[in-house]
Amino acid sequence: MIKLYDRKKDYINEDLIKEALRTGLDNIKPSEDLIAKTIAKCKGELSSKAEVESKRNRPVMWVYRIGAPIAATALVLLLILNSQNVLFRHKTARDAEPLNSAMLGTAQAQEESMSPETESPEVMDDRSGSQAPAVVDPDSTINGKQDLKYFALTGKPEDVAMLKSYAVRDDVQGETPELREAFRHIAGAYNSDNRADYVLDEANIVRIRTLVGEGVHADTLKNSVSYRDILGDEGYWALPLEDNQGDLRAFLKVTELSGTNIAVPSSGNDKIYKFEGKDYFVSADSRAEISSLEPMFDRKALMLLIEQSCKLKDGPVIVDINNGEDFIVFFGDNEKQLGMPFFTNTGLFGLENSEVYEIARMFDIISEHIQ
Amino acid sequence: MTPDDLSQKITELIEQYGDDVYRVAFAILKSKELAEDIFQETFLRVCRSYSSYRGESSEKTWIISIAVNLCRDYMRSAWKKRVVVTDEFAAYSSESHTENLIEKRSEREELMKAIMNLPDKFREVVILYYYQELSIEDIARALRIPQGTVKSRLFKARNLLYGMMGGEAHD
Repeated sequence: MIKLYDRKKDYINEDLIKEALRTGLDNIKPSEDLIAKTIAKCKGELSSKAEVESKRNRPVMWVYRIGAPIAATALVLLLILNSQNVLFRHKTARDAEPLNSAMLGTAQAQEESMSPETESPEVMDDRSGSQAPAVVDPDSTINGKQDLKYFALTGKPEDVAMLKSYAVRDDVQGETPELREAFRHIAGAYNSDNRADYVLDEANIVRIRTLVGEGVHADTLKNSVSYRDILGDEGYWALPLEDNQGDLRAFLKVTELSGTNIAVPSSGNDKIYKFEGKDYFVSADSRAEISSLEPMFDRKALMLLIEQSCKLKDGPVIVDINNGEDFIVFFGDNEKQLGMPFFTNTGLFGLENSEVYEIARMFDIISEHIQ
Repeated sequence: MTPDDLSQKITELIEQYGDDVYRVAFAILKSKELAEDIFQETFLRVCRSYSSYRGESSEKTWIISIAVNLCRDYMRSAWKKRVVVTDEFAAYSSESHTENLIEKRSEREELMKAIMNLPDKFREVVILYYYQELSIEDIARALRIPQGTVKSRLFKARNLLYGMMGGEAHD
């Protein structure tokens, strides 16, 4: 018997898949009747289109055809002149704010440019225009009064000259049954708040590690010999939510809050959920771009991708390198460390998703971009 | 292009790529009736937007992209949730091979059935890559997903097929 696949090998031969598809589909054809009907419909569509075209050529239509572009041009000119403040000059305190302060993301930078009437945390965070939460750094508590640090995370790494992780973190070490219950509760609460019926893919909840607190500069990256050199001790949980087709539709960044680890929701995507006396800060990401993270949330697929490159001895460790939007999975064997990007900002640094890079090369490429 | 020229061109496209469109729609939606609807709608869309086709991809890729996205729209629609699509593939393939006793063919059929039982997102990339022989880049563009996702879906699909055909799937 001719074997269509080799059970000793990992995968079915690609030629056999082609052959099977040809065998299965080549005899399936549209009927002559369907083809004739479709051609007739298309011809009908084209003749009605031609009729509309001929109506357009009537003199009164020419008035619109000439008049509309002139009006549009005038409107565009007006907008351009207005944007350059040639026609209307409205200079606000916010206009005078240096761009740099919006990017630096520290309270200090914001305080320097902040007008007195915008001192509430919510307003400050709105100024950044980001989805990033305001975060209280426990280390900055002085005499019981908390000195708030706000993180403006709008910029991509190219803009801010450093890599930075999502700012709300915890130092929880492992997943406990209690935490698992909390995750179920959080997923349910998210569904009911958003009238969704997504399913929490419990088998693929991942712990995302964050970079060292202050972020990673190009120089640090260039001088790092191991990915562990740039990791902090903290992180957060990422909960994948799927639709009934198994497609990733959202993921929730979840951080356990405590007496010293406090965060304030600052956008519609952020929420604090309570479960069994504990508070969990939850930030949801449901952009279409998260589909590029699918293999990262599929442990089996991820391990298969990794095993193609090396005999795994180290990792995998998933690291957030850009405010909870872009990630690198680090892993290695005895000899080398490797990284595989999963970016929602496709093509960031010119690196391709799901491709394997040696970390020295990868760090060089990234540091060149953020210098 | 005059309306007559365009009409001629559309007829040629239907003759040239009609089979591909119908087969892709059938393989994704597993229904003859739905494949017929997608077939008609695809060429009506081609007809409406041919003037804006800039040749950035081949005509075949462009037309298949329209068909696949119509299938995806259909699968996402609320209507599908209320309608159970019967799997016509099994009947279709056994009809045409009832006389066939060659074991090789029966294994191919087994593999084809396994492909048809893949989850939608894996089945569509398998069909586009292995049957329509579109490039990873073209599939990514057609499905509006990153190239890395196409690769990993193909990878996972092969592994799933291996498991479905009796091999041990990776854990």
